Amino acid sequence: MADHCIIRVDGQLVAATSGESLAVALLRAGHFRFRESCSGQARAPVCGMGTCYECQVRVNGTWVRACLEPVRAGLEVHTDG
Amino acid sequence: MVEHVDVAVVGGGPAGISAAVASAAAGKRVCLLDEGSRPGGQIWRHRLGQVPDEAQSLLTKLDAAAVKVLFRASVFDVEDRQGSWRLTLSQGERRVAITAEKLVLACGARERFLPFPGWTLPGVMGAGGGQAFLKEGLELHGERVLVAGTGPLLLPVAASVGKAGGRVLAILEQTPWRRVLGMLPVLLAHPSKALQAAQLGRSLFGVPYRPGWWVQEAYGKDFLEAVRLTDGQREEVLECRWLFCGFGLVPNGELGVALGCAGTHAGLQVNKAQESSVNGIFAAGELCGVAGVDAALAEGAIAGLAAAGVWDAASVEGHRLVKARARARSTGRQLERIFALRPELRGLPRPETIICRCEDVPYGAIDPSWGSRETKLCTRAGMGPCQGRVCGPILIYQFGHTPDTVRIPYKTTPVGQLIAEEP
Repeated sequence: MADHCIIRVDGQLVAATSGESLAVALLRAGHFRFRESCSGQARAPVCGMGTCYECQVRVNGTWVRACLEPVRAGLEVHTDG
Repeated sequence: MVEHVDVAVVGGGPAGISAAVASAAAGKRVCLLDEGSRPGGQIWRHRLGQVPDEAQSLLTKLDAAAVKVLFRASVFDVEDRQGSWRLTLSQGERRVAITAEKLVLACGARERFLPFPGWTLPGVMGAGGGQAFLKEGLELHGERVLVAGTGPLLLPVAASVGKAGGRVLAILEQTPWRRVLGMLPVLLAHPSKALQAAQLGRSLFGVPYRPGWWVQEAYGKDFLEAVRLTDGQREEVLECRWLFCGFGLVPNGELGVALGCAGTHAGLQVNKAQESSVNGIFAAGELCGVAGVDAALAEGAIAGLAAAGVWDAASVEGHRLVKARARARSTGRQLERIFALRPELRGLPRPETIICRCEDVPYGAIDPSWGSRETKLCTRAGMGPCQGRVCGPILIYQFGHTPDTVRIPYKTTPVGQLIAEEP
């Protein structure tokens, strides 16, 4: 059964499903600027499997690959968006 | 405390699970490691509680087997400890060490990306990448999606887009029609694949399949807005929100190469028992060369039995596995020929087009006369967090580079875990 929960993304509350990929939760909520590249370009998920590191965001202060990060209630997420 | 097992399997896709189950059935203590959150790898990627039908039987066996499974685990160091292997891995905020008598590498493959102007825009994703997110529940609400690149994977990706509510504008296959028709004998030889293809064809009814076409450029400001495509003569511009674009798969051979196993980025070499050139290290599935799930299942089982010391090619089961492996490998080689990359794709990047996405190295900054080491030292290409896993295959394709050596940490790891004292 879908287990709905709330996470906080850049200060905004976002509804998500426990256990789903954080990248999917962010895309669904309309976040398309996951990280800013070293020359200042917006980047979003590419490989979906933890290889490319383009979907890196900070969760509770630590850099993670959003595509591999399972959503849990209360996650505090910061993007470069 | 360092846990000791008989067999450690790196990679939890069909090959790795198959190996772990086989070793465990032979009475060995087995540990299975994977970076994801659920077993099945990329091909059987699924939402929590929605295991795909074709994965049911093997995943049930894994559940029932005495296999210790560590998810979200990235192996960043492997040491040779006189006859056993010591693996160090990062698991979230934890550093974990495991020692194992035998290693089975089943690290699978990743998607090959090729650079074209605009390929770094949000909204441009891998074909397999898009597929992964669709399997995880991404919804597309009538949005316009272009699927492009090469290989049979493009069809199920397009079907998933349709299922998720997206509108597939077209499937661009860079291989020309006359070579795509080479799929017919492959399908005739594999009735189950022909059935799959027929089902896909039905769900893709009305979607233009365009062999001989490829993406030249992606346009957009903050997000993808349009794509220019070509067949080498004509050009078209399509408005779209998403581009799912992938050019086949590349074996994840890094760990094996780093441990001294013979082989290249195109695949590790193994003997008939799936053992690599290094004693005690076995390899199975895509990292021995891309050949799909059937090869992975057969080779995984062989590797698992061999690592447990009970592989017998003359047994009934051994005979079946050897046959399945040969058949799948031969199909893999056929597909590789059919979907070989066309040379025009090398001409797509402009001087300002990014080649290394981690370090933002543009195409124009790379001197074609350099090798991989010089390119790395002069531009930082391949020195970012993905460690050249994206730009490495691009540099091989564009400039004919030989891949540079692989060093620890094999995966980007928090410094605190790298320097941590062993408990």
